[in-house]
Amino acid sequence: MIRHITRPATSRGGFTLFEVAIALLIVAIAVLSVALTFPIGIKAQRLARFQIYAGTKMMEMVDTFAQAEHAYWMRSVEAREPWQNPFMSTPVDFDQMMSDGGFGLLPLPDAIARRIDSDDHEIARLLDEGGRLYYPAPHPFTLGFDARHPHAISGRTEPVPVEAQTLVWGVTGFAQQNVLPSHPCLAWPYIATYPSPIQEWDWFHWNENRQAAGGEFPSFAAFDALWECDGTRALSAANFANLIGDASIDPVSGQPRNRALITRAMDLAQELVFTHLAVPVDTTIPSGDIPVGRSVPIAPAALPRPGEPTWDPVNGWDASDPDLFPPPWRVAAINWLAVAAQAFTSPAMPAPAGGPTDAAKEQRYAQLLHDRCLQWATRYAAVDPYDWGALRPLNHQHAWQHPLLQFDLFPDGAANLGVLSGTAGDEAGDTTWRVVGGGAPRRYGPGRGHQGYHAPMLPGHINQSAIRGSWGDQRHFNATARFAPAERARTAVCWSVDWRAYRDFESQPAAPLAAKRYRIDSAGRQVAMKYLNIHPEFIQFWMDDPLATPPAALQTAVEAWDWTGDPNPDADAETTIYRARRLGCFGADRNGNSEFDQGPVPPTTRMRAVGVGRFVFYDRRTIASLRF
Amino acid sequence: MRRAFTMLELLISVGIGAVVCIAAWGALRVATQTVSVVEKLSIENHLMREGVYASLEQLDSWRCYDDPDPGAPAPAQRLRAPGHPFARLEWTALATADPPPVGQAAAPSSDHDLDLDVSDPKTWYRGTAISNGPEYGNYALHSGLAHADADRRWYALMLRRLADTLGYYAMVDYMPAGTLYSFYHDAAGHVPGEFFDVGYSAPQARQLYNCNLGVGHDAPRDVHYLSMGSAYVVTNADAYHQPGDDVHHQLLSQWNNIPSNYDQPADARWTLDGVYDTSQKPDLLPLRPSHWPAVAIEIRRFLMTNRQWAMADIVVVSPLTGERLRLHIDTHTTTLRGARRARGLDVLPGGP
Repeated sequence: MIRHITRPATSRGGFTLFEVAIALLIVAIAVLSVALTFPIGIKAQRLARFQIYAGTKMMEMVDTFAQAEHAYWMRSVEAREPWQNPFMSTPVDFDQMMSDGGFGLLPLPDAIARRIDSDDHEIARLLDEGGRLYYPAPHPFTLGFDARHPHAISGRTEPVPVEAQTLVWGVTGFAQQNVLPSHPCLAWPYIATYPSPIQEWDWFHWNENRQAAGGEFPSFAAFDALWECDGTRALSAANFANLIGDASIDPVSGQPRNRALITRAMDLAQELVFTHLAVPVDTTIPSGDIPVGRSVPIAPAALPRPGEPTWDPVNGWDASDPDLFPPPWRVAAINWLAVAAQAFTSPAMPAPAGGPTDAAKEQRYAQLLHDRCLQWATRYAAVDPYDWGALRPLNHQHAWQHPLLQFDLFPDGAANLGVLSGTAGDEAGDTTWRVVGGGAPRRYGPGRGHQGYHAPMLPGHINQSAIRGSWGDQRHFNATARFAPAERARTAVCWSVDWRAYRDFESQPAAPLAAKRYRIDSAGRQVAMKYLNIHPEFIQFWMDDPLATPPAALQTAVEAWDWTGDPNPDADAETTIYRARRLGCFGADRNGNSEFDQGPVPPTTRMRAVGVGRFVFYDRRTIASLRF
Repeated sequence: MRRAFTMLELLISVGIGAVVCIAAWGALRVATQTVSVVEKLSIENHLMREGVYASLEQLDSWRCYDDPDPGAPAPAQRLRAPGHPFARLEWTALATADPPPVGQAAAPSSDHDLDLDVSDPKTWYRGTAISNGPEYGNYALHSGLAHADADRRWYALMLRRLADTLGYYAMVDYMPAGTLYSFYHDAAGHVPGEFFDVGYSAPQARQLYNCNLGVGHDAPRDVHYLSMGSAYVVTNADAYHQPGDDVHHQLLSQWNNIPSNYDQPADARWTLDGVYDTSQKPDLLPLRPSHWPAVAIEIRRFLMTNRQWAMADIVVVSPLTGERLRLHIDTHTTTLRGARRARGLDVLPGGP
């Protein structure tokens, strides 16, 4: 029997409302889940975009780093005392180039940087360790980093894409101890064309290093006689230029004044070189090439060329060989003899009494001395970068003229051995490290003393003792020590965060500027040109409080730029408002649109930065350039 | 009995269906828009990446200035004409082209030595840095174009030949970093006016020194002083190759719109603003349909503020919104000398 089971009619109903609700919930979850995946693609593409920006910027930074600018304009490079020199902060390394605006990056105000979170608290740690975050300048420096204002001048640039402006950068890893650009008090190498007249610095140098004062320079009296030249200082750089063209008759000699005085100077130079400094006479030069007929203390003589150095396989080079290691006093004296001889070939110089024959001799003699002078000077400059006794020849510049100097960061435990401090007046509180070199610098004189952009150091100020007291322990010099590549490896890290959404992103004061970078040093001297962009954000600084100034009256520094005014006011022109403007106390136009903007996010809100990329780079320690 | 849907059930069903449809439609719409945005971003990223690659290739190869292909059309090798940076230079011919002084035999010359060994005395500057004039002595006795000794002519000859044949940018590119750009062109110790601070003359006249930086101080300059307020460009832009132009023997100096006491060239092309107009703009997508986003690159090369700059701008433009994305890259490291060597344009004694 077949049993028919009939489902009750009431059991065949539609879905219950509960079932429908569940089904709807499932559909909703499914749709939402799918919808939630949509932004992933967008995020991935945006991250890819950021990585293009970051990768390109990093490539640019490394390329610029490899071709760092080595010329520093319109700022003081040396100081009276070691602790007074702001030039030591000159950017030669990656961090300094970053903080100097050299990469087109600008420091993010600390107050804003502190509100940004990141994975593993990396940003917080970076800031805690003294690092900074940097953001891209809103307008690229399209005519070079040194010309940061073309966008304001030419109007030919476009702002950096808004999304690229959200990138912030930092550098992690241990900072390097870099080689110094020069000694804080003496920006060696000093250079001059050979031959050239006697500079006042030469006199101070010889005087400070004379044997009677415990130095090595001999025959100060003979040198001083040449310098004074019977009270005329005929061969001094200050007088030489005017004297050359002065052919008026000298009442004493009855000769044209230029010929008479420079002849006298030349005779004194001959005496210094051959008699007092005992330079041997080159007897191979035909006597017919030597000018005659003047009243001279000694016979004019020919200079020898530097002898060929010989290498002793046992003892090496002979440091006492004056042909191999020419003493600086010899090089300097030969220089002055040569410049005196050269003066006789000037068209402004009256013809010699002997007529064309003597004129030809004078020319040949000038040629001979010029050659010998260059040979001695280039030999001197080639053998020892730590002999600072004579000027280096501009005629033949090379990297080996630059001594390697470092700060001595490793005192031997003795109190304050590594640190020098100013103790009196406005120097009180200034400190600096001592200096060490690849070799012990010697025979140095006082610095020329251009401590100050507007006014140099007091004329004749002798700071040789300050230099002498600046040296640390040479054993701590490590710039040429062996190293593993990893010791130089550091990481530039890039994040993305929309910090321009903060309400105060343009009113926050600029990141603090290290006092050593300001244009006024602690002694109150102006040490850099006013218009140098000492703070990287400077051209964007608001000139007044943007919250209290009508928009039409609000200007940035570059808009308020006075192109025709005095570019270098003295330190006493530094009013409170002036300093506030120079230091960015009123904030800056950080999106580059010349208008004061405020974002929607209150300062109390924290933001999270998204990691974009990490770039390991080699952080060199010396100034260098690489082109191929 | 089979019961029909009630009106309420029907309404609810329709309502639910509508919600589902709306949700599905919304999801589809979002999905479509998202895909569209992702695709747009992807295309832009791709174009930007290609623009970066193309820019780096151009910065490295100098291709947009000179096509290295021997069969390239003449306009692509316009800068190979004499006086331009890609001119062929027969270094072996320099010695014979240089006549010896009257009454003297030709001295053996080392003019072709491009390796510039700075320890060689022939590379030493033998003039005075005090002045470009002879008032402090006749320094042409020691070196110069007219000197009897070939090694004493070398410095002057290098500057003269490089400036004449390749232009100022190339001259600085070839010479060592410490070069003083001055030499004596006659036995009396005179420096050529082009290497002299004589002020502006006609805009197209040869002029290496910027007079605004040297008034009252007419002395030999190094690259730092030469380029402090001036730019020396390399360009193939038509705007700088008009009849009478001599762009590779001219400096660009002073900003165009600074109300100042500076002298400015009458022709705005020769101001620093003109550097922007010297760009090369190689077309990356010449067959691009009009509805595609456009990608363009601009390359600029110039010597300014003590350094050789090579810059690229990558611009991606949306055809629909007109939105522009511009990415800027500065580089310094590739040399004209390297580009010329790669093309065999320096003919050395042993061949290119």
